Amino acid sequence: MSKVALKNIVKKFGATTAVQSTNLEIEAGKFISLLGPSGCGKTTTLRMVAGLTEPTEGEIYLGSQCVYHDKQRILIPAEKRNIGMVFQSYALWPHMNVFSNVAYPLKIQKCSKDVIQEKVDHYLNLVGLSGYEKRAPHELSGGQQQRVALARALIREPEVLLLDEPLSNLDAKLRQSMRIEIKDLQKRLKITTLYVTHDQDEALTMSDTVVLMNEGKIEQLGTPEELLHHPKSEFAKEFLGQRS
Amino acid sequence: MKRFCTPQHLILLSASFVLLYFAALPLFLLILKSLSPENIESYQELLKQSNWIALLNTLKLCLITTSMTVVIGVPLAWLLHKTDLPKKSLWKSLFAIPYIIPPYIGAIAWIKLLNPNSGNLNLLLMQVFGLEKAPFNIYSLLGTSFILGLFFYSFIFLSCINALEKMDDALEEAARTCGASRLKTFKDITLPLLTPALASGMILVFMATAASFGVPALVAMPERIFVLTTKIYTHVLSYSGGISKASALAMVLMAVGFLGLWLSTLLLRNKRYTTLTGKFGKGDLIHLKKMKWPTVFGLSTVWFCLVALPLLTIVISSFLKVYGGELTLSNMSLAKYKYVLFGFSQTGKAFKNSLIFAVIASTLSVFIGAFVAYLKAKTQMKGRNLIDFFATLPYVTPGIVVAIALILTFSGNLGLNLYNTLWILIVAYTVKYISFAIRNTVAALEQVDTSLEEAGKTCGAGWLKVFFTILIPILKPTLIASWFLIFMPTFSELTMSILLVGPETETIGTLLFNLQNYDDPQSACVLATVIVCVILTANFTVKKLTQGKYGV
Repeated sequence: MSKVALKNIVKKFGATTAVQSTNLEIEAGKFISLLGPSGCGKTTTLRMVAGLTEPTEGEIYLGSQCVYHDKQRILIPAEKRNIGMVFQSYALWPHMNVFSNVAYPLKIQKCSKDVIQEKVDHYLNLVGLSGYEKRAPHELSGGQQQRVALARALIREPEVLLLDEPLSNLDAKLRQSMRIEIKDLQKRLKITTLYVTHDQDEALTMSDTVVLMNEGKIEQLGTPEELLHHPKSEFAKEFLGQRS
Repeated sequence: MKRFCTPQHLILLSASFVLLYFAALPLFLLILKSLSPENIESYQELLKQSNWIALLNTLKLCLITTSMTVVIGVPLAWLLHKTDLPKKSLWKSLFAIPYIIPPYIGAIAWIKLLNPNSGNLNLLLMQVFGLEKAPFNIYSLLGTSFILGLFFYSFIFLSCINALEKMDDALEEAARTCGASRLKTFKDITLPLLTPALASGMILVFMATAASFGVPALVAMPERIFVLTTKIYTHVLSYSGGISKASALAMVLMAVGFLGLWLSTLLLRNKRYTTLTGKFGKGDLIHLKKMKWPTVFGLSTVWFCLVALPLLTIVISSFLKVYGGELTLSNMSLAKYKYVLFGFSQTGKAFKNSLIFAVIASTLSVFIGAFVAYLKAKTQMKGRNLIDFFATLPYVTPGIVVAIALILTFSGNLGLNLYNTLWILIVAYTVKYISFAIRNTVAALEQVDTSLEEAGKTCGAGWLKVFFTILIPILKPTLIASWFLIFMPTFSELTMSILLVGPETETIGTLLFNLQNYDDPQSACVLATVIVCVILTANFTVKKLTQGKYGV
C-alpha cells in the first residue's frame, strides 16, 4: 500500500506554473528523493504534501486519508496531517531548549509528563544527543541542530518524514556522515521518507527511488542505478553527469 | 610619531565639544542643581499631595496607553504581514501615518468629536441611540490615554512588523508540522519570538506617554487633571522660584523614564535570541479567501475611525463659515484660511519662525551628526561611544526636562545667554533630534568600505577633502533623509517650544496651542491642517527620494 500519493497535482503562483500535473506514489517504508535544480518545483511539491502550500489542482493522499482534493474541496491543514518535517534552516525555536523543542509535538498531543520524558530520552538517544536536553539551540553545532530537528520530526511517529534540503547548511565532511546517519535511521525505523535535494550524490546514495524534476515536471523516475546508467533525456544526462 | 593636531582631530573634537556643551552639560547641570542643598525645599514641596496625584496620573496614563497600543499594534502587524491582503504596503503606510503626525493634532480633533457638550460624534451617538447624556467625555485621563494610544500604536505596529519580516517563517511552519494550530503557533512560537521587538516598542510608548505634553495639556488640564509634564509646565509659568520646583519635578519625570527602561530590561532578560542561520525561507501567506473582502472592509473601517476621522474633522472644521454650524457645503468657505494665513499677523511670523528654526536645526544636526557618526563608525578614538551616548541622552529625556535644563544653563548665569532668543529653540531642536542623524549616518558609514577613503588619500587628497568629496557624496541620500526626518518633528514641535519661546519667537506649534486653549479653536484647525499638509509632503518627498527606505 502506498503511503503518499499525488494525483495530477498542479501548483501555480500567479501566472507561473511551479508544478505541472504531477503524479507520484511512495510505498510504505521507502526513501524517495526529489532531485533537481533550484526552481524545479521539488520544494513546492514537498510543501504541498506537508500542507504548508496549497495546491491549485489535484489530489493528495497520506496513508488512507485524503488530505487534499480540489473537486471535493478537501484541505486538511498541516497540523492535522501526521507528518514530521525537517527544514533547511532546521527551524529550532530559539526560546526553547533542546528538550522543549523535541517534546513540543507530544505536548500538543497532551501526552503525560512521564511519556514525554521517556520518548524524548529515547529519540535524543537515537540521534546521539543524550545529555544535551538543557542546551539552547544556539549552543549547538550545525550538525547537532540538525539532529535535534530530526528527533523533533520523528517523535510523533509520523506516517511520512519530509526533509527539505536538510544537509545544505553543513560543511562537506559533516554532510557525508549525516547522510549515512539519516539513511541508517530511516532503515531502522522503516519510516516512509520524502527527501528534497539538489545534490545528485545525496539522492543517488540515499534513495530507493529518485524522482528527477525539471521546470515543474517529473523528468525521470527510477532507482539510482536506472538514472545513472539509463538517463532518458538530455537534461537527465547533463544533470547527473556533473558529479560534485 | 603620531600627530594629534591634524585637521581631522580638530574637526571631530570640536564637533564632539559642541555636542557635549549643548546636549550633555545642561542635563548634568539640571541634575546637579536640583540635588543641591538650597534646592531641598523644592523636594519638600514635592511631597505635596497634588504632585503625588500628578505622578500617579502619569503612571496610569502610561499603563493604559501602553496596553492600548499593544492591543491595536500587534494584531495589525500580524494581519499585514501574514495574510494575502491586497495592497499591503499601502496599508502599512496608511496605518503608519500617526507615527509622523504630532499627537496634539489628534487632541484638537477628538475634542471636536467627543466633547461632552457639543462633540459631533457624541451628538450623533445620542441621536442614534436616543441617549440623554453624551456617552463619552474626552476631558479625562482616559480620553488623554485614548488619543495618545491612537498615535503611539504606530510604534508597536512598526517595530513588530519589522521583527516579523526578519523572522524565519520556517519556525512557525515547524510548529504547524508538529501539530500546532495557527492560534497555538501564534501563542507558542510567534509571540515569544516577537517579545524583544514588542518590549522595545512598549518602552518607547511608555516613555513617549510619560513625556507627552500637548495632549494632556489640551484635554486633561482644562478639568484640572494634571500629569507630571503639565504640572511642571504650571510650575514654570507660576511665579519666580517656580523653576526650581519644576526642576525637582523634572527629576521625578526622568525617574519614571528610567523605570520604563528598567522594566524593559527586566522583560528582555535572557530573551535576546541569536539568529541561527542566515538562509531563511519565506513561507506561504495565509489565504484569506472568503474572508478577504470582509477583512478589507474591517481594516478600512478601523483606519477610518482611528486615522482618517480625526484628520477629516480638523480639515472640515477649518473650512466652516460658522464654527460648530452644520456640515453643509454652503457653510464652507476659505474665509478662515484667508484670515489665519494672511489677516492675522502672528500666523505669518510663527510659520516663518517654525520653518527657519526647523531648517537650521535639521541642517546643524545633519552636519554635526555626520562628524560624530564618522567618529563613532570610522575611528578608534577613545570615548567615541560615550559621545554617542550623550548625543542620545536628550532624545530619551522628556522634552520638557530638556527645555528646563536649557533654561537653567543658558540664561546667562553661565556666560552664554540664549533665553528668549531663537537660538535656544534651535539648540533645543538640534540636541533633541541629532541622534536620528547620527544613527542613520553610522548605519550608512558602516556599509562604506574604508578602502574608498584610502583610495582618496593615495590620490593625494587630505582628510577634509576626502570627507567632502568622497564620503559626503556617498552619504548624500542618508543625509537628506535624516534632514527630513528631523525637519518633520521640529517643524511642529510643541513640548519644548512652549517653555522656550519668547515674544518674538513664537512657533506654529505654540501658536496653535494658545489658539486652541484660549480663544480660537477654528484657527487652530486651520493651522493643524497646514501642519499636517507640510508633514505629509515632507514624508512623501523623503519616501520618494529614498525609494521607501525612510518615511512611512
